[in-house]
Amino acid sequence: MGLPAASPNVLKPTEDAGQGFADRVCLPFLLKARNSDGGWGYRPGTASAVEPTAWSLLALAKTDPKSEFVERGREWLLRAQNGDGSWPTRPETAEGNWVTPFAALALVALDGPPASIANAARWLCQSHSGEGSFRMRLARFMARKSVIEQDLSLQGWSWTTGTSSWVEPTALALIFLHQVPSELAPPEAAERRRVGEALLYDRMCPVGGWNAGNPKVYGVTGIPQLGPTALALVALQEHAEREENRRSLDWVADHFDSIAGPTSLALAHLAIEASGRPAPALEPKLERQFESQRFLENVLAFSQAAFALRSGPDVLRWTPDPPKQ
Amino acid sequence: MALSTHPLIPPSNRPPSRVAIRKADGYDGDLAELIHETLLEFQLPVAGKSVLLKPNLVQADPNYVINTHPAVIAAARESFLRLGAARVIVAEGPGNERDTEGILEAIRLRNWLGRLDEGFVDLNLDDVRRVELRTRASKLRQLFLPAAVLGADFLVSMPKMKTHHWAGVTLSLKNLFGVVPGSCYGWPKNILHWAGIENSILDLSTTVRPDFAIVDGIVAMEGNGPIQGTPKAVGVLVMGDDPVAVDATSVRVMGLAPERISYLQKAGYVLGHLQEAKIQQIGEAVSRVQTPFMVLEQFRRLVEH
Repeated sequence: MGLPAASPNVLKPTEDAGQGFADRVCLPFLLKARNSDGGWGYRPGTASAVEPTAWSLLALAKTDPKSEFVERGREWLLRAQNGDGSWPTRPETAEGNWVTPFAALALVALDGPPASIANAARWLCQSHSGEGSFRMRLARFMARKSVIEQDLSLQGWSWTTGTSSWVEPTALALIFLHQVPSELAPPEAAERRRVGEALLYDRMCPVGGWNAGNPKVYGVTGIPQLGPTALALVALQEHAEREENRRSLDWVADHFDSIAGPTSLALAHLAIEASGRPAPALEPKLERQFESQRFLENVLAFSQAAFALRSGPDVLRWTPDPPKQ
Repeated sequence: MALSTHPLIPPSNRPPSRVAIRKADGYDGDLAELIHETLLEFQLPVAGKSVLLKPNLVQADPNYVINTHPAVIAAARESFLRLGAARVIVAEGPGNERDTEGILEAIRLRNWLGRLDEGFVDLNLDDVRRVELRTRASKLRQLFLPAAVLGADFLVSMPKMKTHHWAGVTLSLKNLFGVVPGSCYGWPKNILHWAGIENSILDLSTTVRPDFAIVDGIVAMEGNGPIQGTPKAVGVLVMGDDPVAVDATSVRVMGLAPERISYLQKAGYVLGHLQEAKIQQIGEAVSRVQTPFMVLEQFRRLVEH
């Protein structure tokens, strides 16, 4: 997988030490890491995949949305879309899954083709997690309250088709469905959003925050995690005044200084900003983490860091729906 | 190539497996020497080969109870290099937490291994290839698996000795869930739960059978494992080239009955030896180190009487 050839129309971040971390470190890394097919892999030299390409595009879009890097990345993303509107993890894995709303969100931010966005929204609204299956309904009937305490009648979104609803895929779907232009959203979108939000609140950990989606197992309270909590808070930003949101946001703020990984750090920062609270300084912490491990060359870390530093609040905040008459 | 070619119908006269139990009171002793001495007894064909160490790294835990301790990982790496391995990488795809770097930082793995951008592979994010599973215990049939695992010559499963609130115990076979890439299947890798945890363990184990297993039982976990249990000082490393025999021995050390753990029992038919009579113990005897584990009520049936 070759690195991109020099192009007269590429973004040109400089090596000027006076520049911010995003311009000085993250964007040059992303430009070098791009594959010759226009997409990004999870690490330099690995095959292009949907998630790192979508994050990289979001990180680069604000710098120059018309650049050759953004244009070719967008083309790669469009080529990777399945005929049914979904996206797979990578083209070779074929089956649409949890990356779909995130790829579609990148297209919304980049003024992508309306038909692609509408197809993605339709696939998402028609895709159902396994809770509605006979097997799960039977399990619900047989379930002992002591094993898992959650409302299994609620359907959100799953990581892979037909499996259980989990917090992160549900939050990603909600973030996209809140941003999709109303004329491109299928009629069932509003109801799917309502149930998806209900599921997130149902799966919240008692202390605030979310883990993958098990707030209590065998009567033992689950431990929240930063990634799912941050995405859930972004997805539920319209309800910032709810006690659950405030408790969860407090949990994120309390843990912010001890976050050890750049992806959790960037997402936590985005969540705080999306909720409208003043966010703690991000750049010095990212700098320190970069110095220790160079983010392990993880494209997600560089793109999420750049996105959080430069673009996040603009892309991840939306205007609440007007109240119903 | 880490894909197993181990016969699925083993010969009836297969020889006993050897399992080593080595005492280690803590993580600050010379674990590399302890592991190296043990590896020499197994005469492993690793000279000039690429070795992949697959620890069990679940989530950020600075107290070293949830995850395989970095001292054991570092000692294993040094030992395999001393045996002439051309390359030893550490690779894991945590199943419960997307922020792998956050986990590695919390356990300070770099203090033990040095630069991780060269020596560590996040299996959740690696390139993948579709693989037909060798058995049909579950309905999975096939999985995408990471290039790093498929490209390794020699796979070492390095679990933490723990109880598990769905599977009973998690040891070298259950540890293989970490080779299933989260980028394809999510966090958790829920497709394995839907296909049946025990049967998925079997299908993975027959397809990507570990060549060697090193169980970190120095400080283990009992009760509500694999995350919210309590520390259990056992003071042993359990090692061997038959992962079923290693897991069965570890289970006996935990005071549980391996034949009551259905995936282990089934694995005993195809992958290795489960019966005590077919396991030749090296080092400590099980009876000398046995430390009964507390289990959840749901798993009381596993307790040996």
